[in-house]
Amino acid sequence: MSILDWLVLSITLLGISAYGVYRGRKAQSLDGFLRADQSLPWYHVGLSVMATQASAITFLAGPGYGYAHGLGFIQFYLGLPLAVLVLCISFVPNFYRLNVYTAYEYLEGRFDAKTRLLTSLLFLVLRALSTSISVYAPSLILSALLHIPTYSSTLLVGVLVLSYTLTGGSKAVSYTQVLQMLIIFTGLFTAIYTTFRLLPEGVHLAQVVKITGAMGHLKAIDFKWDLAERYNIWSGLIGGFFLQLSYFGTDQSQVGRYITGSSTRESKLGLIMNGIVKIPMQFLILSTGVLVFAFYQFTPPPLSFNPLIKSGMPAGNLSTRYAALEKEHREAFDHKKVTLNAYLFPPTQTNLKEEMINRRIIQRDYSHMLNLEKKAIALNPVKDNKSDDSNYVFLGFILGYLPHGLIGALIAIIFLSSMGAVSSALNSMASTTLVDIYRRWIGKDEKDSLYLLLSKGFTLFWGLICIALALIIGRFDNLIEAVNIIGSFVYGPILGVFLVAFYLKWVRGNSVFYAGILGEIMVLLSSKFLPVAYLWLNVVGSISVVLIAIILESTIFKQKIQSTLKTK
Amino acid sequence: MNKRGLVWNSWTLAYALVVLMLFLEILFLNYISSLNG
Repeated sequence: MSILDWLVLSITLLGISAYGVYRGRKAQSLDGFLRADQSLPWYHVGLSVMATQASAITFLAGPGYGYAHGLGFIQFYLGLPLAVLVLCISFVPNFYRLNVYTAYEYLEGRFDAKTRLLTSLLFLVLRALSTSISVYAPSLILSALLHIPTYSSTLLVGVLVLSYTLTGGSKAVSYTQVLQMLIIFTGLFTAIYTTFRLLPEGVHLAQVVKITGAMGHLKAIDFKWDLAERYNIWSGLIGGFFLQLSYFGTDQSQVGRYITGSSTRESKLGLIMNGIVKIPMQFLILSTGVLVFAFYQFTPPPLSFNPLIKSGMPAGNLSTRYAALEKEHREAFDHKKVTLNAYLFPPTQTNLKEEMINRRIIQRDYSHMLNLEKKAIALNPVKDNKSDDSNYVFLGFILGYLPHGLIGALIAIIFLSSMGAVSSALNSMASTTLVDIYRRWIGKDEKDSLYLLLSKGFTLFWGLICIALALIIGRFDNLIEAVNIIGSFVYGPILGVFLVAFYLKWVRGNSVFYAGILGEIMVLLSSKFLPVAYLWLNVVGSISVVLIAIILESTIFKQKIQSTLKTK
Repeated sequence: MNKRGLVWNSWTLAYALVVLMLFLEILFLNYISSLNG
């Protein structure tokens, strides 16, 4: 990092935070603080919804996943456009009709207070956990860059986000997110363009496609029906549909974004924009990783991308073994590169048999390199350093090869995306704590100014909780999946509750409440005993709740009402 | 056509566009997947 990079990074981060404070300065009412006075146009809604979902994890582990595994993760998002349709038809009109601040507020009108309380508490727990990961992810960057402990960078990110979320609320969140997304898109395109230019002479798109295709990195769609397979088209379309529907429909960090739209029309158009743009955007992010993978076919990659693996190796026997692995890794790379050149630029007329042989040699050398990388990581005695190395790939690449100025801009993007996601989360957790907990159970008829003050207090409270959690949560293997896996445990049953609310008008509070709890137990049991990938847990959770609610309503709770009538 | 019908129709078109885009995106991704060197 040069002075220019630091300048770009600081100006961007401080500029965005100041812009947020400036834009949110008029949020002097509760409605302004929690819903931006329901005044925003559709493109604000759309970009805000996208910025909320795209955290730093998306920009760190996303290209990392593309580098390590290819495009397959894109299937995770295939259910999103379908979920958008259901959101526009059922969720948005219902939330607007009842003029709610939070999604859970709707549930009390439809069912009862305990269902509202259960869902809002589940949301708070889940969101606090996911947000702490969103704070932790960029702290990896700063600690690797400045060689400072992870906690100091976590604190810095937390303070920046709190500065405008605390003063400007929902409006500040939305305005900053629009700017963040514009910077993010510009940066991403520039990164892809620059990476292309770094490829050796003669290597163009055709060669990139040939080599990444040969290594299986272009396999974006897998049609094989396999419930245990993490990402295929079926888990993406069906499991992804349930996950995205529950995320966008029942997670207040998203509901809180699109109810800022000035009408249902603006809100729906914003969601439709998200439904159309999301898959291309993820494709762009994963392709960046695949492109970096192509780059490292011509330039030797480090044995481990996490610099702490090498620097943390104690002197003596372990260091010697690491150095030996490094040497072997380099030899395998050199051998692969020679074959790769013959594969991409055959000296004579293409000989299909020879091409197949070369291809197999490249694949064999590559898997040998992967084995050595695994061995190197296993050598490190410090537990903290064993997190998935692919999370460090994109960062390592940016720092090592991109021009100064762009380095600062791209690192700013990683921070901005984290700030976007975290700011939505803090604002939504404050909304839920105020509207569904405090105003419902503690202080029902108090002044608007007190509620506003308390909202700010809750924003600060959750900010501090998330920072504290972020300091201890960095032990998950792969960050993206950690967030999604936690989500899959809780989202399904909550979606089930909302589906019953919208589509089964005859089912009442008690049935859905106990169905929610039993549904959660079903999810936990399925994850323990059934060989299904985590995306399917959303389907299990939602459908269990709907079915159990129907059964309870037509058996136990039906009898209860009849017996109450008889007694009377 | 009354106003309600018109609104309904324009939303139907918007929803159809979302589904069409998804279909095209899957087709594109499937094409990319077939490029295996």
